Amino acid sequence: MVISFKFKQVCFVCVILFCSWVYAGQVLGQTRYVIKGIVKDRLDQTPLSGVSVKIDNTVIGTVTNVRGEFELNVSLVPASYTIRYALIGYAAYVDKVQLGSEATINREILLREDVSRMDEVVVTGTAVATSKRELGNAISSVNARDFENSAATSIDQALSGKISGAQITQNSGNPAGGISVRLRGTSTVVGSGDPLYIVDGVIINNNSTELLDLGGYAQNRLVDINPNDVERIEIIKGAAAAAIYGSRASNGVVQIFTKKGKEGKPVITFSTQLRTNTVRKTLPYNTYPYIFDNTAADDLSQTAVERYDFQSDIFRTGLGTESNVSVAGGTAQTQYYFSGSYMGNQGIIDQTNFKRGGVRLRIDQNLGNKIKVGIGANYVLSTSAEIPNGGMEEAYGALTGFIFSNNFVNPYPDPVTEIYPSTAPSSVVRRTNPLEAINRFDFGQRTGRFIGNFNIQATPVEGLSINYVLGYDNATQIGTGYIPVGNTTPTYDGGYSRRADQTTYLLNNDLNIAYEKQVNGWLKSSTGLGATYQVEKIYSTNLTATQLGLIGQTIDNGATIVASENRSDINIFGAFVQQTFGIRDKLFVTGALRYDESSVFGSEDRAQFYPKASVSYSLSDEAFWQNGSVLNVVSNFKVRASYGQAGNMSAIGAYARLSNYDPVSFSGQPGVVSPSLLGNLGIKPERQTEMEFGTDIGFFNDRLGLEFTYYNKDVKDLLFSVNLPPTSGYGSQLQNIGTMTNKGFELLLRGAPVQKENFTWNATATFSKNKNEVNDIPGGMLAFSGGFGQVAAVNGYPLGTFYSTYFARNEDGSLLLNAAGLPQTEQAGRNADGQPTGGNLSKVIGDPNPAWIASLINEFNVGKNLSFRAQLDASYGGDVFNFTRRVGERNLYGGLEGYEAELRGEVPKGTSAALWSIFENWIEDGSYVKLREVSVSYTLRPKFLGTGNMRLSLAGRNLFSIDDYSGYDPEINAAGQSNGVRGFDFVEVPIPRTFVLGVNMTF
Amino acid sequence: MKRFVKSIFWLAILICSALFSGCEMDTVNPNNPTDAEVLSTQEGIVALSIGVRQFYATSGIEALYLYQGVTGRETKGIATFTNVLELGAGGSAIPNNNSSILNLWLRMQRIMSMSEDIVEYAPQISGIDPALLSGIVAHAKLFKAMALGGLATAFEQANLATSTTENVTFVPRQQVLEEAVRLLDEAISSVAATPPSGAFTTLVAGSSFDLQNVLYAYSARYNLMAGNYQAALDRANQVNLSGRSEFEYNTQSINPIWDYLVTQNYYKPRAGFGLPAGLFYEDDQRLSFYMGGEDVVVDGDVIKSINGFFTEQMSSIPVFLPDEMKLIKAEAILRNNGEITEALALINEVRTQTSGDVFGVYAGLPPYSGDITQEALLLEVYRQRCAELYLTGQKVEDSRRFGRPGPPTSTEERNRNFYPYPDQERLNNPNTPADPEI
Repeated sequence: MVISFKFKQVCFVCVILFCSWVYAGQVLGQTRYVIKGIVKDRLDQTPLSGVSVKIDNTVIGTVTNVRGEFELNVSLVPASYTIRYALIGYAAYVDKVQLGSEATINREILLREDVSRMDEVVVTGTAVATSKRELGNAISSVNARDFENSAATSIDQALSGKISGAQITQNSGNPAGGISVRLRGTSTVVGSGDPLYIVDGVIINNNSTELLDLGGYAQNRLVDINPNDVERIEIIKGAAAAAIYGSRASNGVVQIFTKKGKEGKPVITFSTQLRTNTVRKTLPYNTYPYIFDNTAADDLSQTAVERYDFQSDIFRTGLGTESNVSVAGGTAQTQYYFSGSYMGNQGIIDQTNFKRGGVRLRIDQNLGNKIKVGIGANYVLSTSAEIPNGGMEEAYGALTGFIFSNNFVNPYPDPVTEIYPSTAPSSVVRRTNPLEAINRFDFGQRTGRFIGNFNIQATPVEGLSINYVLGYDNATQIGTGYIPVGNTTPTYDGGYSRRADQTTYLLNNDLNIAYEKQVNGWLKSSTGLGATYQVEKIYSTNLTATQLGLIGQTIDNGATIVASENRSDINIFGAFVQQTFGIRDKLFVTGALRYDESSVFGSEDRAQFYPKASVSYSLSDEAFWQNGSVLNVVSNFKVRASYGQAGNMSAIGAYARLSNYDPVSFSGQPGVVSPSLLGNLGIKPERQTEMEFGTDIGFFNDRLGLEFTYYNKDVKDLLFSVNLPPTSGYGSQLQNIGTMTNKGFELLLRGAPVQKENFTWNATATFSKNKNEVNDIPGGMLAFSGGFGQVAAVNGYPLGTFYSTYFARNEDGSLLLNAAGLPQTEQAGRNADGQPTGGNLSKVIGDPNPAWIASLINEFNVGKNLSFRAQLDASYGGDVFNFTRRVGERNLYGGLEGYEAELRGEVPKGTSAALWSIFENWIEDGSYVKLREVSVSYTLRPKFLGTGNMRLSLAGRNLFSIDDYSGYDPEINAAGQSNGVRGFDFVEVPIPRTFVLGVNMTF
Repeated sequence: MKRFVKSIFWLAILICSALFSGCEMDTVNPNNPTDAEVLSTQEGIVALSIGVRQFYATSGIEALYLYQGVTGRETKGIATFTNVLELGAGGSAIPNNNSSILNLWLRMQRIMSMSEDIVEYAPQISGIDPALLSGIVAHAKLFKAMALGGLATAFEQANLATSTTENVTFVPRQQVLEEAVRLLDEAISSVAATPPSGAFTTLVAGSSFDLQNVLYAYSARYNLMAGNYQAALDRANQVNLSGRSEFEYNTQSINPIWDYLVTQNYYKPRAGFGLPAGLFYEDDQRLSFYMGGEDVVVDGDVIKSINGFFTEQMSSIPVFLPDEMKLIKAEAILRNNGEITEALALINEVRTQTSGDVFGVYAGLPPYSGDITQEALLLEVYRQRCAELYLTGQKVEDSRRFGRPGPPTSTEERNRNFYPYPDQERLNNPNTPADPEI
């Protein structure tokens, strides 16, 4: 504590010294100038609107109008100035102007389309806005244009396939389905593997809180952000780039920038869409019209039954609409942007939907030439009607009921009593009737959320910029569930009511100071200094009532009420310094250091330093290259290397280092029980060290760009919930004991094979390969409870491998059958008859992590108005644990086609029961190629819109999948956004096939 | 211009100082007390005393009564979870990683650990009333003894104490039972020397838990298991049979048997207490006391629905049944080669009782009419125990002690003699004994 306090003071003094250093040198004597001109596309000479025109070292700037023209009226000291012209999708253009006696300056600027995006300017992980070519690390960026016709309803969904090194998985096909983003593999076991999300400088909450047990599915809160408000997204994938984000950055950082107003008369954009969602594939169900009379192996007698198609009553065609309107504009001094949106989307499971309405406001105001202040405010109300599915814990879901039912039971309610029958084949255990779950159960969620930011930007003297952001994200999420009295659920016949609330409050204060200086003719220096103070308060209440009265739905109506409450309070302080030297504009060397303190950890371990260093060298800027013939082929060649460390403070809860006694009540008295998790006051944040090497190459005058990065991420002090010997009196303890590596490479190829005046073809391909490995697990293996104990971290294997029982085999590999001719699990040894004995054995039977993932995006523009776009996403080599089939093909349930063989006598009676416990049998290859997006759009310029235009589009999402997977969808995961349990198919809602018809007007 | 720069300068300083002064890093957990608070205050020790009893009554009883109920064939697992299937299959099909076995082992250890903490830290609290302390320590020793006794019913070997600092060693179950008896003796004498105050009853025991009576009863039970027949007889004689000690459940701590047999439907009672013909009486009223409903056949077994002390979420479960004392006495007399007629009289008290039992468990049978031999009467004691003490976690122990046929030759009355040691222990403690054969 003493050390950290001193450190804070040192930081404070540094900031003051830094401020006073740059405070020197004021100049007076300004003159009025008019700088004006026109900006055009170099290829077809069309004027470009919306080009940002900005004078360096001032806040003076404007944008071009629809005719490509701009005009700046400025008061400046006569000198040489740098004007930057930037437009997304085009290479930035730097223009030097000499302001002297001439009062009016006229320029004509030609911008080159930046096909390879190698000169894109980025700000994430850098001290100042920096061109990508100067960076020692890889960075991915996605622009609004890249996903405008993606038919995606959330940002993470829209990102799928757009960036290399990212595995983006939609875990559920519900309309607000949860999504996991893994950047260069996962970097933690106990915590969340999702990156840190920052929107306009605000650290936002992307929790996946399961307020209701919906079978495993949970929304992740990024779903509240409307992708239509997004201008661009920058993604850094590991510690080598993210070190200055410190102890929250080991999963990478995704920085989202929303749309801003631009100088000019109001531009109104209106778009509306109509969408349809359908189930892409249903499971083949049992149509054999007989059942066995009993389970005796030697009695094959059967009885005729009628079979029903449950799925046709569960799935439906969901409709949806989405409308967005925005108004943007402003003057040179004031710019504004505000938007309103509403989306209502029905799920493919009957009675489910997701609705999101929101408003966003953003105002930027110049205070003179040197200071700019801005505020942003976003209010969102998201509601959803849910039907539970999946079955990780509870069994009251619709698809859950379907898979545990045998489809010879008529599921329709009695026409007189309207009572739904239990669809269980035996009367001992009731099974949820899926139709009852849909028609009588009432589950829903509602989230009200405000995200606001206030920022001040100042450029007091040349080269110096000071930026302060106050970010605030406050959300209240409410979940309610109701199952009426007298139902078919296995456990809630007396009714069930649930109400859970969570309030999240995130605050961040960030002060960043950057100073850029051309020291001399060959040396440029950029210095960044920053400090941050962050608060995260999460309060939750959970109420469950059972044994309800006949009518009321709320908690009060229950005879049995269980209430719980939790409050979590985390404070973080951080500071960083980053220095870059640019040598002859070719060689760039960066070093940075971040200091962090977090209240999650004890005073001994809370102070953490994270260093970073990187170098980039642009070989193609050397004279020999510029003058050589190689330039005609390889127009740009850069090599880079980067090293950095980052932490994962958010892996554990606010108080997880303590031995927290659980309150209980007994015999009317309050008591406490010792926890199963023994406290460990000495735990510290996990620490990731990443090395990356890469190259960026531009071919044929940058018409083809290649980005290649090899990385090696080592996580040490990996936190495990280590099993203790039970004779310690405790079950487990968090310990910094494991290690994990992610090694891999990512490749991005972006080019314009055809670039004619009336036909262009742009293509982007990404390929990512990651190998994750966990080691130093005490005991060699640690099973996760979330995957029914069949999913584990195993020494030397990737996280989340399927670890369970497997077939007993003969030496030749054929199945070793038992006396009855049935397959069996391998056991510790063989008895005298050569049959397995001595207890079941387990081993690694599958791995949900794909060997590689790849995407291919092709975009064609015909003329100026017609464009086509298609995106294929591929994932190869990941396994899926098909629990759905395991249940549906078992004799006790038997609703799937796979059970028919046993009824038909093609396999011995009892086969399905024997296979039930041999988990190896239920592992399937989950490789796929999906047509993720396909769209066509046509732009009209009708007279009534004036200078505006109108775009009509038809888009499809997830239209088909090429795979060998027998289940609904190899991509989903019933364990939701769980980090350890992946690829676990247990009747989670499949991802729908979506068609969207839209119109977008700008005027 | 100058003004701007100046204001920015001061603004930066202002923000910085706000940033650096406002970081509170030592946050307090408002949700849970920590070990430091629980073990060093009287309130904490009292709360932990209630907690250990709550934990035994919920998680402990679930593991002891239900899992051993499956192994002792009293109930049948009908859920298709792996651990339930493995327990049901029994024998070598129970692997070392069976989660039920782990639960049983771990929960008993946690009860021991909490009890040990109370015994260690309670006397260190300054100014604690000796009459409160005596009750708290005796209560903790009782639960540690119950955990040791529970382990001894299920495992061949166990540890006598827990440790977070070193790997414990294991001793044969006979020694485990002797340790339980020793702890109970200590508790009995300290309670006799310093009778617990009214504060102990108000703060810890509550009105439905007669500590001294429970100490006698469990001492009788474990002395019998340990083969100390005279001591068992003596302790059973000290028990006030009209005393009523029970675990009282509420909506937050629910009756675990009800939860798993009625709500969650993991297990169901087997008809006829799961006993082969000849080991139970068709007209035994305890059959309908403990189970009812229609006969349902699952995989060839007839199952019923549960009654007894498990019909409601908040049904109380007796800490011990008075008739167990009579049967302990009868058995102790028989095994000690005592007066056979005395044993027969005790057996008949249990058989013919139709009123006066504090928990209302009545056999309603005619007096015993079979052979009056030591062997025959011991078998009758076994029959009575199986019926009277249905689902009290004693069936496996009884069936072993009475030398009933067991695996691998027969799985009719139990499908496993002793459980294998959980992987979690073996992987983390090299002292873990070899697994029993079956």
